[in-house]
Amino acid sequence: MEINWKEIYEAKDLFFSLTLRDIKIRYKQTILGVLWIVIQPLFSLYVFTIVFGKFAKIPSDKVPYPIFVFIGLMFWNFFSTTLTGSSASLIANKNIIKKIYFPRIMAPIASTFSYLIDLIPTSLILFGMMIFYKVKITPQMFIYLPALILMILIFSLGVGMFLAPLNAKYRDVKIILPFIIQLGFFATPVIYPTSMFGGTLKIIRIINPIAEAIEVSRSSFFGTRPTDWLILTLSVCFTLAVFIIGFFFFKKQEENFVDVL
Amino acid sequence: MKNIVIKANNLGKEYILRPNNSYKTLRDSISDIPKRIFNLSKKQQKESFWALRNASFELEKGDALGIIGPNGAGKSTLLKILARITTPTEGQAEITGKVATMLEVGTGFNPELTGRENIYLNGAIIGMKKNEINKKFDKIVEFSEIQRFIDIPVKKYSSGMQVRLAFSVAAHLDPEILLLDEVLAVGDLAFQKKSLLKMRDIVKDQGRTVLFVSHNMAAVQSLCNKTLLFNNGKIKEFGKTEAVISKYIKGVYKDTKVSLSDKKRSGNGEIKITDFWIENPIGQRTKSPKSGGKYKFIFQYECHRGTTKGIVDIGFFAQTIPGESLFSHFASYTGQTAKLNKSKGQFIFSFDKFPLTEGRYKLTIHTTIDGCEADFVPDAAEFSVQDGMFFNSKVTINQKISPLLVDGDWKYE
Repeated sequence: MEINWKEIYEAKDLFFSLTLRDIKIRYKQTILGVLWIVIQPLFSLYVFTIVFGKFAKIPSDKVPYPIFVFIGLMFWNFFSTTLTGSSASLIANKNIIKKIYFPRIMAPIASTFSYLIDLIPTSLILFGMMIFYKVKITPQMFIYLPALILMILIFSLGVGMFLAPLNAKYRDVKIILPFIIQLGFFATPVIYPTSMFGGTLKIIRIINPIAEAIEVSRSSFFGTRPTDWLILTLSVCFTLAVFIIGFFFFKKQEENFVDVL
Repeated sequence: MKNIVIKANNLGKEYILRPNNSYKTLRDSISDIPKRIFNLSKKQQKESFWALRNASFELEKGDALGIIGPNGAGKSTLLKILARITTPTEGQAEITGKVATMLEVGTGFNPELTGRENIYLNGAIIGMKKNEINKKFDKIVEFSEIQRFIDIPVKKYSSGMQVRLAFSVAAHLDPEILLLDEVLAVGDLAFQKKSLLKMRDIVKDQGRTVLFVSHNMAAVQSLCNKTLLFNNGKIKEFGKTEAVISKYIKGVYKDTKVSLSDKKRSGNGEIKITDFWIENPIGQRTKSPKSGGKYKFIFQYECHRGTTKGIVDIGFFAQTIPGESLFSHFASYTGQTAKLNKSKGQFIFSFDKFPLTEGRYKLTIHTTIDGCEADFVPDAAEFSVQDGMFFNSKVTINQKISPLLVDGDWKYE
């Protein structure tokens, strides 16, 4: 398989245009528009705090439950929206793909990147909450947070590049995916701390980088536990492996999905 | 030395036919596994068809290639392969240079975005760089004639406006190789004319290679120097445009030789033109009149219900084979409409001097009764005209320069 790297690099203008389009059209013809990006996480924060924090009394390693669950939600929502978007990206761009040639890989890439914009208001809320709960904001946070988001982005794109051609061929993917994402939510420490399950979560943290991102950011922000560098490294390696496999799978499928779209 | 920019080598594209043309589900694939295992030795029974096969040709830099042929002949498949939208099942294409494709006007337009945003999006999709679009933005808007609406979402545009904007973006692309599929027929007449002129500019641009799929023979003839004729997925002819087009036209009319009374027509059918022929001055039928001669057009008619009560107006349009009307003549032009008193008979139109130049022409016949359409037969008949003495001189006039000849004289003062 020959990969034209130059072509991918030269498509950067197309990448920006497609990303911009995806951002613009997402909230067009909605009354509240961009406000939704703020309302959605705040609303789920409220519900999750009431249900899991107040009623179910799930422990949160002595961190205030709202901020504890918000970190989890931020990463998890980013992953689930980008994955849903990128795996549907070929079908969403079907009219263009059937009529014109451009590096097809730009469809899942642009779709994934367009969700980065959602993180701006979300992280502002996060810092607002930190100030409110008097959590000390450290310079490390500004390195950890973007790095962990990048890790999730790469992981999500890797899975998305794998699912997008499959979705083009078998529309079953579209039906199964929300179900799998829902299961994944419970396999990820969004509403509960990793300490609840002791050592068993370690293996999950390696193959589920979202779990690792949530754990690393919580433990480092609140100083509950020292960061487990071995698990983090393994998780990063796993992420890169998924990305590379996804990329080559996509490239291999590239020539025949046009005929089945 | 020849400068080959496109080299198609034995290109072929096979499509697998599935019932209902439905996409495959995972279940189908899984349930196919046992079948595949048991049929390992046997060749799988799948219905397929070759949309394109054994297509080989070469194009030099600066060539403009017209691609013609009936629907489903493989023209668009060829363009899709050359554009890299789909991959060939066999063979390969070597292309040197930056390729741009216009398979459909408005590809990638998003109805929610404004005209301005769509110019940038569409431009990027068809392969323009951002600063390239910046530079051409004003020209694009001006050409599309929608300046006032440029900041309104495209979904509020009329379809004509959308098409105009899309064509303008595509027309300002500057590729080395341009692949076009039937993009001329956009907008109202004035814009069509404008876009045809623009296309001519694009095609005539030195050093650009253009491939142009069209059913519009007149456009192919005026834009392309070479033409490729397709039928049933195979290349039938490849060569100089004029030669290929005339072969295509002959082929089409040979294949679809139906008698006039069986031709496709519209109208209430109260009267029907059943036959048409041309008679020379001594009353013999001829298939190829000469320019300048005395000829008669004979239209045989039949009335559906015995006779008709109303006033009958009969006439015809003489057209070139691509379908451009050259002249028409109706009984009403000369105030010669009349009531019919026979149920069968002939309308006879006489030429003093047959006014067409050497070449092939066709005729559309139109009959009305009291202004109501009774029988309208497009492409009712076809004939060739031989070179003759229209003017009392030995000049030969080319059909392209003047298909229609007009009497007149010159004076010097």
